[in-house]
Amino acid sequence: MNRPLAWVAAAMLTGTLCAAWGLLPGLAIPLLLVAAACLAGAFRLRNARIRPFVVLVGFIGAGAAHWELNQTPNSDPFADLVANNPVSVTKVEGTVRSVTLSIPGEDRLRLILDIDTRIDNKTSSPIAGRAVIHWTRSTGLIFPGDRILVEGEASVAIAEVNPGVNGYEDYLRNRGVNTAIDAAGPKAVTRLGEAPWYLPWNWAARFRQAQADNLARAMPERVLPFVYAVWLGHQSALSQEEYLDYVWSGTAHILSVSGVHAAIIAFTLNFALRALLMARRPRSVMVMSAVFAYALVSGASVPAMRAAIMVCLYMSADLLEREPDTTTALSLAGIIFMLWDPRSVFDIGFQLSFASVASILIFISLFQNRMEKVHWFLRGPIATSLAVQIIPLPIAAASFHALPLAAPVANLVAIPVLAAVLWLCFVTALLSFIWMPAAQIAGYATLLPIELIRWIAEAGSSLRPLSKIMTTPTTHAWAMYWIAASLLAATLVVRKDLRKSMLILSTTAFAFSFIFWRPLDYEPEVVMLDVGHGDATFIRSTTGETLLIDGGDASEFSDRGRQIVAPFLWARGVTRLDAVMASHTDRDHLGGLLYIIDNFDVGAAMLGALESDRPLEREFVARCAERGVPILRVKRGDALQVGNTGLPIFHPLPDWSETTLPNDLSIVTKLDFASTSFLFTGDIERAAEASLDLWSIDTDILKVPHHGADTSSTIPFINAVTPKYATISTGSHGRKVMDQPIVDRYKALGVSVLRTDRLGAIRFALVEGQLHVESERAKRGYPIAKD
Amino acid sequence: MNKGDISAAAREWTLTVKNLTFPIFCQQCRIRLLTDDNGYFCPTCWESSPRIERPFCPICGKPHRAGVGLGTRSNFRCGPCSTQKKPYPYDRVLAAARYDGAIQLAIKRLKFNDKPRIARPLGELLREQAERELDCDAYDYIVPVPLHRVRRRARGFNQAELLAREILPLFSDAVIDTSLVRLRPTHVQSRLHTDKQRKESVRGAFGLSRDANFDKKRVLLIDDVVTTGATIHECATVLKKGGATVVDVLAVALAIPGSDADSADLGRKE
Repeated sequence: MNRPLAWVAAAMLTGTLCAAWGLLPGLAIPLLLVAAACLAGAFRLRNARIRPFVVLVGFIGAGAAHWELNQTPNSDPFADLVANNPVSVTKVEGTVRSVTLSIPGEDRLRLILDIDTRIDNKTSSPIAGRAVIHWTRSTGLIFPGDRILVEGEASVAIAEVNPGVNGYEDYLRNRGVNTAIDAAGPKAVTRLGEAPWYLPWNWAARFRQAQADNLARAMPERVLPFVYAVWLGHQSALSQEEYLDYVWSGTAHILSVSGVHAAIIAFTLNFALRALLMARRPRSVMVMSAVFAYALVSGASVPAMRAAIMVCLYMSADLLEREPDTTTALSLAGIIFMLWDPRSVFDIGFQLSFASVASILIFISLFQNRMEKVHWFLRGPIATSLAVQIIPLPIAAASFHALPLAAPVANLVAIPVLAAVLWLCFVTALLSFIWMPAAQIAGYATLLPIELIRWIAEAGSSLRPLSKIMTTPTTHAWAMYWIAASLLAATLVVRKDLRKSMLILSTTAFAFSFIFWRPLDYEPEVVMLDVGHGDATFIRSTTGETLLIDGGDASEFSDRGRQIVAPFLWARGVTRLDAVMASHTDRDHLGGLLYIIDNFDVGAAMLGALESDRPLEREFVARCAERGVPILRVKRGDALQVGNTGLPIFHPLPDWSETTLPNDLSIVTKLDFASTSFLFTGDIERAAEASLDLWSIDTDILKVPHHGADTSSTIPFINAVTPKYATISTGSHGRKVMDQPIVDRYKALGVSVLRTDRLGAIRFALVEGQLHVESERAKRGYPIAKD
Repeated sequence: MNKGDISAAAREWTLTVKNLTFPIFCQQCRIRLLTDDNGYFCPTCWESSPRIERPFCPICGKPHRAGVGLGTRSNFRCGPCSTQKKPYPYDRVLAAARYDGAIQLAIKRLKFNDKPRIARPLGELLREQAERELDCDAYDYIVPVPLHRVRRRARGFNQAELLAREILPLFSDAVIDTSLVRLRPTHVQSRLHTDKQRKESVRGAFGLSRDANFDKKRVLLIDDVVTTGATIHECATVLKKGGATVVDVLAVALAIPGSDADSADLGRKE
């Protein structure tokens, strides 16, 4: 309690949050608070009871003022240029800021580039900006600090943006990246000049790349993705399936280099050096430099650097002949990060790592005191792995939506094994620069611990029926939960006679938190999700039924169902879908639904009347059977009822022999939504459009068939629908079938076109009975490309 | 402003910064400490931890119960020590404090929680007692009770050696000698609960290294805590066999079973 820096950190955090939520707006009020506190200090406020409050008020003001001062939007002229001239091939020059690891066999690189020059018709003009470059079919290596020339398609839409989903674009925008450039082919990126020799980032990246190449030769192939993740901080080589095992066993955190890894390195190295009888001070210096070296080599990611700084703050106590104090080290690290960039308060990684350490500090004694019978050697680790869960739970629920009950046990075993893996990686990396055969011995030795961790993850995830899916808590639940946690923490310090009543209060608060975890009332809405190329529409009808039409694409690299649709639904408090409809069986519509079937309580699944033999359809049917979801085959003329919501089916014909194209067999259906109506068309093409009964399909909002491709959207069809809005679900990167003439056709007919590649997710809601259209991208204040 | 003022101000500021960034707390009562004087215990806890003052037995070091607090009385032998002619291989035991309260905690932290800096206040305690009670010119060697090399590695230091270094300036003619070694690993004595177990555990555990020369030398054996005396008994036997004429034992704390119970309990109830 009597740790001044802890109070300062808490005050600054409060100030920052108040400013961010608009409770302390402007610069004047916060500065006034600071001035008042300084004045009170100057007048030598001797009253020891009041003084701490004055200091607190001062730092609350300082935190708010600091937030306000950091709010000046960083101007990015290049992004403005791209927003005003969309879909243009651009040529830019700049200095590489960071780059992903180049893995043998993978030909994709991701660079972050500080642009300084734009080349237009062989004339170059200076322009500033920061962009992420996705370079496919890359050749050659690029390192931070190098100057490069990039030619590619630039866009201000970096990735998909959906309500309630914290995604890749948010991550990059938080780091000042405002544009994305897609560069394809070996000639898209040219290296103009090397980095100056004195740049440590450049050495670190080169060293990291050299290690990746060496490790690929020294280690068996099956452990490489894991080693890249934990040793070099490169996660994307892991297969999705494997990653999911870690998520469901609650051990996914060991895959991203963080405080746990830094702590393992620091702890084991300190122990080893002590055994070598190294004196305390040089030992601390050694440990600190090792942790920093590890953070640099593992990609100098923000969490790794944060962990390294925290370990250093802890270890530097020895240099000053003091005992380390974890609470103060944590607070000081928090203050440093808040000063460095107050936005980091809203970074999930920042929140999780600070919440975890704080949780251990506060609650470890709660568990340790109750485990006198447990062997002393196990007591600490067990208490730690239980205590670490408490404070971060709502944060983890909001970001991972999983509460794996196997987590404490799985981590208890996996983390010591991870220590072995890290040291074996170190030995292998070291030896691989000296003598490859020896490195291979060490490299193959990693097989055992890594297989063990993998086995733990698999075993943990096989207990998945035991783990709970957590929706994102409501604000009330969030507040209630932390009140309950504070009360629980208070039971540790209050007098004995108060303890019981505190415990009861805390339990009640926890119970209330879980009762109000989901919103009590829901708004009816129709959300066309931004899933890139593909379709996914969530409907909550005016009578409250939940319905999902299509689930986006799923490939071996990415699964929109898992990455976008499911998190979106969980963020909305949805765990049950009354019906799931697959308009047809193409991958970009059906693929993502597999994950939905597996993880949601689905009332019924709807497919077009004609059964086909496509593998994806067969798998979908099999999964539905496995989960006990009834399958409805629908055809023209059916008047489908989902609860109280009617869905008349206009297509496909059951005995339509004109075509066997899956696209033309898409389900076409209509939804009445208060006074408006939606027409969902799947991917129907000309033939199907022509076969529709033109009188029945007049609606206000049309989901444009086939992502706006010129295979569909004939003029008679549009004239029959006479929509007010036409929504096109398409992506700004990767595969695209949309054709500009089709967009122009709609516009010429007086229809407003809403494109998910420009607007992000498009949400239709009822505001006082009136239809209200909302773009997620606009809501977040992200730039939207002009037409 | 002269140079002294500046350095004093600098020290004060350094202390303030240190107190902010690395606050320290009393290991016993958790009160915040604002100076580096002791670094681990507040003056209240440290001073209230019971010391051994005259009268105590000059052979086994145990304080006489009736005389606690009357520091000026002269020492006399306790019952067992006065009836036996030559009861122990060592000549005398001198301890600075009872193994209780803050000092007990300090010794535990020093040994088991990797806090070698506690050796400083403990050494100071030891030095004060030695200055009062010992003829500091009368020793040739100061011998810390050794750790087995494996445990020494694991712990990173030998607490008795740290203590020996703390008191060395007091002994003008003596040098620290580490040729007494522990030959085999033994159990941590504090986890063995009976006298017999402890004796068994250390029997034959000590020996002299080849370059040892204790012939006709006077030795001061340093230990952190004397509980049943099994360890120092073995050490002293080995040293005497090596030719030492005098083996005195200086320890920070002396555990006094039974007789300490009342005072110990009083301490804990606070």
